Amino acid sequence: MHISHTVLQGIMGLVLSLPLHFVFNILWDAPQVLRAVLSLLMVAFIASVWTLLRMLTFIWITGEENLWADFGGWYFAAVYVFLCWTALYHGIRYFQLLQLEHQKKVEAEAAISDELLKRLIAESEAKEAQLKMLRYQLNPHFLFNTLNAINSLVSAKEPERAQKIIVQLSQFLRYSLDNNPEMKIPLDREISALLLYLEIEKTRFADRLTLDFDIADEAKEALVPSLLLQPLVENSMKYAIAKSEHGGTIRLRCFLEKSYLVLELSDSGTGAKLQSSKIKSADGRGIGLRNTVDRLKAFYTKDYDFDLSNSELGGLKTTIRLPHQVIEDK
Amino acid sequence: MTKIRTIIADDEPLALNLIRSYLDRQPTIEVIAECKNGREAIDQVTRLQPDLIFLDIQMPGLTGFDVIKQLQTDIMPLVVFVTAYDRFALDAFDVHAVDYILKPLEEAGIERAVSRCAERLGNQADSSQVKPQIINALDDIDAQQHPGGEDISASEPLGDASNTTPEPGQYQKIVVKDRSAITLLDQYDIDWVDAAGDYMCIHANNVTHIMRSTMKQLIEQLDPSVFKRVHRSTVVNLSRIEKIIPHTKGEYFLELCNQERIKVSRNYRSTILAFIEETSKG
Repeated sequence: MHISHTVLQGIMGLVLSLPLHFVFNILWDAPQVLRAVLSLLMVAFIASVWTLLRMLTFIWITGEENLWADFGGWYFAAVYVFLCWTALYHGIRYFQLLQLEHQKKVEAEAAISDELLKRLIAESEAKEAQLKMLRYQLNPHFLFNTLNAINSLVSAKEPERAQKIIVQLSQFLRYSLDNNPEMKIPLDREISALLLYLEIEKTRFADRLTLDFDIADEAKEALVPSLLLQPLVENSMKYAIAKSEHGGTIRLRCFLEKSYLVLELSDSGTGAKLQSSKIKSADGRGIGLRNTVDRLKAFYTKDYDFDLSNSELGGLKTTIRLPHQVIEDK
Repeated sequence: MTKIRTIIADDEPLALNLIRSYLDRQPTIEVIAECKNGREAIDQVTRLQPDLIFLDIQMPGLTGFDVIKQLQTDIMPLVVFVTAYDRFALDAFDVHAVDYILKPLEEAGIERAVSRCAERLGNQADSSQVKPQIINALDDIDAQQHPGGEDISASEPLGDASNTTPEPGQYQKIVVKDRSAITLLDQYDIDWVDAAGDYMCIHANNVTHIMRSTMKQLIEQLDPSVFKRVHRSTVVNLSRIEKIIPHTKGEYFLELCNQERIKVSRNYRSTILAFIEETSKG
């Protein structure tokens, strides 16, 4: 008898907890005091409904008549049960919230350390590029061979030529050391440094090196990253002029096209025609070229163009297109 | 006292002049030729057979190392390498004690190299030892540049090794193991071969393949009707011969179809005479 009543009142309690749950969910974001008052009222209300139903079913099952005097005792127990339910509800809700917050925090920390790692990688890449530039500037092969050439001129009692090459070498080294690779400089200064280097190479290789430079006047003021062309020209020396018995030509064309500065550097190669599939690997010049592209990306993000093709001279042609910029305050 | 007949090879005219001016001051040296690149160096060494060559490493076309690989072991002069900057090479040559001098040149360096050479020649040192030493050093350089690669190892004939007398035209391909790849060389593509100590330099299609093997092992794999020995350490493919040029003391030069010249020693001239006779008979 009492067992069926226990089961019934359990089911009724469970059903009544559903509207309680619904109301608590709505109240969750309400102000604290309002929420507390309304919650307690709701508990009192649901508890009274439940007590009423429990007593009615008890009377219906047992036929007991004189139960209504005990209403207060039944009601007290019901309030107690629903207060426990309320406490459990809030406990679980807050536990879930805590878990969520914790997860968010962990994710945020991961994102921060990820960001930090990316920044470190970027910084080390920049440093590496700078080191590579330094190595380009102080190419030991070039330095030792030039000193040997000077030695030869002194030995041959040609002091004027020896002096000239010493001065050119000093100026070139000074330019390389003074110029920060993160700076932009006017094109004509970049070209004059290039010429210092090439004049030295011309003394070394004599008639094996022919230069063909054409710089448009209006392009001379345009800004370029300092020492941008240097590694490319050194590549041409290394892979075209020094590798060919009869030497060759280095050609440079600089001009403005719409709002862009165009730099075209070509060489006559080793005589063997480059296959189009090999242009990208560019005949072993890979590292220098990648370094140049990295620098352009750092300077201009996406607003630049870097293209390799077969040169009409027989070797490699590098075309660089940069936004036309000049020094503002002039 | 006879002077040391010397050739200089360097692609930079100023560098060439400098070596020349230093060598002119050496009483024991006679400079007989100057070369602007590797190709000229090979021509002049073959033609003039000098005692000594000052050889730049970085030259257009053929580098100093290529020159060594392509020169016949039997006419190899003493070699002094001249270089501005080549760490790998210098480390290797340190071990193998082949002379080298650094740019910028100083007179003391040249003097040291010259006196070492004079000593070697005075001891009647066998100049055929020069190439093996250098090839050995080049192998070391290669090992440093391609670490983890396999050793150059002895070639193994393909097919059935018990087949001791293959039919003419049925000779196996030659297997050349390199650090980067294994090449299967059709032996009829080979122009000529010369031995450098434990190494064989196989010249085929304008490439020099280096493999570790003895002359005897290699000759056993080659078709005897096509490949003949013309010098102590040189084997030539008879079908490549275009010209036979008599030289002094019963020696001959063979000019191959790719313009390379190979010297025939007196002891082997009968091979060539027999070849001429057979060819003229048709």
